[in-house]
Amino acid sequence: MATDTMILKETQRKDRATGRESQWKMIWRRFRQHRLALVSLWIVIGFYLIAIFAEFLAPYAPSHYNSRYTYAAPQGIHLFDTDEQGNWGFRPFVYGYTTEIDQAAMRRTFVLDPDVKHRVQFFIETEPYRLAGFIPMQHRLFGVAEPRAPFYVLGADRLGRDLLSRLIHGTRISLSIGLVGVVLSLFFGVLIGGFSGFYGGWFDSIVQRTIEFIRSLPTIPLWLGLAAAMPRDWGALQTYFAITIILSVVGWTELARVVRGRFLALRTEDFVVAAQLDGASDYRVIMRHMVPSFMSHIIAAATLAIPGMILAETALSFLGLGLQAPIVSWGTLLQEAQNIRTLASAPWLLLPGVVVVIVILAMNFLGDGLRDAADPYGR
Amino acid sequence: MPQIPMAAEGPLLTLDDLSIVFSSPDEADIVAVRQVDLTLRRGKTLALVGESGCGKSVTARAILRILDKSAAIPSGQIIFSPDDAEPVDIATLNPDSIAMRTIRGNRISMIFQEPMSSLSPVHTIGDQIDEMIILHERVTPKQARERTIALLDQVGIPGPRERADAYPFQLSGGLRQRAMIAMALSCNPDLLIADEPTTALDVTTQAQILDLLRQLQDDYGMAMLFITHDLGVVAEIADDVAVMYLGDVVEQGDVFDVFATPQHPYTRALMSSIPKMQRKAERERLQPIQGTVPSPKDRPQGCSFSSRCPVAFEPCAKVRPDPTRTGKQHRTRCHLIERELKPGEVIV
Amino acid sequence: MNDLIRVENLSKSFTLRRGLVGGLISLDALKDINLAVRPGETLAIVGESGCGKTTLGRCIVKAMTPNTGKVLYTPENGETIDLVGLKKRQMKPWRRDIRMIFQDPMSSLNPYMRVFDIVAEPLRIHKIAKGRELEDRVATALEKVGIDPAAGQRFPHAFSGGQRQRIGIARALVLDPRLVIADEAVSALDVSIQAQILNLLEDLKDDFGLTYIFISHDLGVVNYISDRVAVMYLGNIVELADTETLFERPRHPYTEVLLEALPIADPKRRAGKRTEARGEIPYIGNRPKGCPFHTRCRFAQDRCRNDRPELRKIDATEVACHFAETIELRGAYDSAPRPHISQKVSP
Repeated sequence: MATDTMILKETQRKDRATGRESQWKMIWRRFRQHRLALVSLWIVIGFYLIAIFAEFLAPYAPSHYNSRYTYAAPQGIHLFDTDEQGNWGFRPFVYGYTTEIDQAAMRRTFVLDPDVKHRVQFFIETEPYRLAGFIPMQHRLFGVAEPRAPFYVLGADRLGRDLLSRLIHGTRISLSIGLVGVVLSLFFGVLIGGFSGFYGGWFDSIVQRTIEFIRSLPTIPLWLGLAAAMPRDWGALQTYFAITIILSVVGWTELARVVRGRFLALRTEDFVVAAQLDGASDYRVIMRHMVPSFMSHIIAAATLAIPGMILAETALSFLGLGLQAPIVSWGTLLQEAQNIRTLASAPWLLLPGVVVVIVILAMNFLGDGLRDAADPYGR
Repeated sequence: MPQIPMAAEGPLLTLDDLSIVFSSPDEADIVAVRQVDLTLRRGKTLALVGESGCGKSVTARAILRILDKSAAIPSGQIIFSPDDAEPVDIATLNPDSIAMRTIRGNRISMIFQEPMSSLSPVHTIGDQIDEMIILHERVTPKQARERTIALLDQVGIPGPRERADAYPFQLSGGLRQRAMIAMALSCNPDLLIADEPTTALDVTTQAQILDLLRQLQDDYGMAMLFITHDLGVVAEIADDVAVMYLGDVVEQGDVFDVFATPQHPYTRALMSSIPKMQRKAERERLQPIQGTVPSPKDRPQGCSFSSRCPVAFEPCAKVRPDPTRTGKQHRTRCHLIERELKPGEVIV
Repeated sequence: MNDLIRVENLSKSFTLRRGLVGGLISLDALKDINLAVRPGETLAIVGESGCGKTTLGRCIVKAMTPNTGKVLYTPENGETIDLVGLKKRQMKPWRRDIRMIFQDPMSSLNPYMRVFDIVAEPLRIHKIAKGRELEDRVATALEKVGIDPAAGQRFPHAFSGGQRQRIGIARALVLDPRLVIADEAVSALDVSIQAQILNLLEDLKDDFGLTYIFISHDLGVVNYISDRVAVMYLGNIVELADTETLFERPRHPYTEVLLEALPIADPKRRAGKRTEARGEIPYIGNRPKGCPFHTRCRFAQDRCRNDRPELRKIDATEVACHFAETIELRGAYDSAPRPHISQKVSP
């Protein structure tokens, strides 16, 4: 095994030394030198894994509520405990709650009760569900054994729903909306930008003026307008796709510009002229000679576009014009943190904001790293 | 008897045993220039000639101490002896010190292949030259502008009074190069370093700039270090020539000597690589050097040219030849010459 | 024998917009070019930057379309085809015959393709060979230019400038062309490498019976490699002659200027100061009226300022100068130090 790795390493080194190393290997090698981007890559991968396995990871369904525990404080999770025989070991548990009535504010507050411990169990059996909508499952990663015991690791919201579970489910919506939005933008951006850059002429002029017009519109009011025009009675799925399309309306312009710029720069490169003089068709010139040399740039630009999409979705939903309850996204979760008084008593409702910040930063660092590594020849 | 200052005799600049090393975190150090000896006579032009990567530009930048942070001078001296000041070893100065900056600003000027890289695009050339003059002399802006206009006229820029208000991008390549020369002259330097100043220019413009540099050298009495890859340009402008290959000066001497009797196999090969201006009947096939220049990492342990040398023999790959005198001012690093000379014999 | 290529009355202009909303201005890059390329010869096109030599080359290979004029090509079957009017698909078969070598060995090879694929690309496009045969043909082409075919799996960045230029030549040769247009093919190379490539080009010409159009600004190289020379200035051909005739007895004052400006690697022949054209090449947008060279010509008369001289034949030379018969110009083969006449840069 070790020798295998050594042989592999040796061939890699040789490839590099003799110039056999392909573009993607060079990009990867350069990317790895960018520590922050590498860490960010793992963070982003982690969040997307959470999004994919949301039902399995979350202790409850997003709509699961318990009105006894509205605004219950975060329990935290305790990992080590002594068992009945007094042996200390890995035995995760959470404390139960006692309720106190705040007479002045006329409000219940929850205080952790160190005397009540609820054991946390892994791969706990629950009501059946479908993972990612199609794999039937009956177990979740973790939960408390007693069905009626409270389990609010990150606290509860105004209906006594588990914030952690909602955050995990919100991750799926928010991250996928960014991704779907960028894929849509990418499709239109590459298509329109590519035509614009390769053929130039009047088509290019029209596209450029259109892009300038769209980009001169203030985005938030534009989105608001479009969102407001959306019929109220649309279902969750329809709203979801409508929102991605609304976000892409502006998103494609940036990518179209990047693609067009690359096309313009490459069109006069000698190796592209050489391909044309070989007698290659336009399609072949584009796909075989031009696209490979800016593919990596496009990926980097797309990665940098995702955070914008996520933020836009969050902003729209926060304002109540994007996704609507019962869809759970980071934006709709933050919507509940709009009220100052609520925040004062339940500050954990701001946690979705923290997650947004982490993910956006990670994606930006990742995009920066990709962009720096994208051009292995440093041209 | 009046004491003549030491400095006014002897060469203006001496590079003695100079080495330049580039280090990078990932890879082994690269010796870009190794143990170079050069002398630059007062008022004369030394041409440093060689192909890309031979270390000629690095050597020039070392004299001004404008090398990258990754470069170091592990050994050697750069003795600069201006007429009216004490000799100083530039190699020991801190690149950012006041002493070094004074040398850079007042004593040694440099012009580059691409003038746009050293002219500010957002200031007029007049303003830029004014600023240089005011920096070095106590003059009013008005006097400075008069000097600027005189300088621009001297470097052959037509309509200097109007052109002083032009931005660099408004000038053609040749005029830009002239403007940069005017700027370099504004401090009356003892030494002008010209790094491929005509390479980017058309032949007719190149000829004009070479003529101009020769003329200015006569007027100002400055010495010139001229870096080029073009033996034709060397023949046009140099008094002395040093041929560099892969960080070594392989041959140096008086330009007439070196061109008439090239000693080092590399110099000879270089000369037979250039097409001669001959009629078809006299035409000979070019004799190129085989192979390509290795990277400094793969430099042979001995003579750096030994891996491509047509006449290499036993010691060449292993032992580095010392410079041997092959004429009055002519020195060559080659075992073949060492062997042909009897011990103790010196060619005069 | 028929000319391989005959360029007739070729003109090409570029339109530029001045500023964002300004009017269009038209720059004549080529003006009424007439030129014939004979089979088996090396025709050099020389001139300084902006003279139109590259544009002319690109019009001949149909990388650009001229505004007016013809590029007549005579393929092996003897008919004559005007390449200018051809559609992309109609042009494709002739692309096998007419190939190009580029100046910059760094940018002319796709950095993302392996060398094997770069050289194989024309064969694949023209569906000439595949599989084993394709590999053989690529290997042969690489061997011909002195590249080890085993290195085909490498990417271009692993090669030096000279080697890359060889790869570019292999790409041109793999289709067995008849005409190769070399646009400053050795200008970006170090002298020792330049000599290797010049020798290679000569050898390949003999082996394959090629015809070259050799575009260059370097008269030393041109004298060495070419049979005939066309001198261009501001989009016009000003002189066209055998290499030896042109270098021995130039007829156009601009040719003389070019010859004298050429630095010669012999300090004994160092010029004091030269005849020297005054000033610089005018911006192509302000082409002078009359003879394009009159602003810098030491023989210029009133007539030169008004009438544009046509290319006309004097002995073995075609020259566009009103006074070609009367002026005495110096050639380049003299070995004496060159005398001088003082110069002044004119406004």
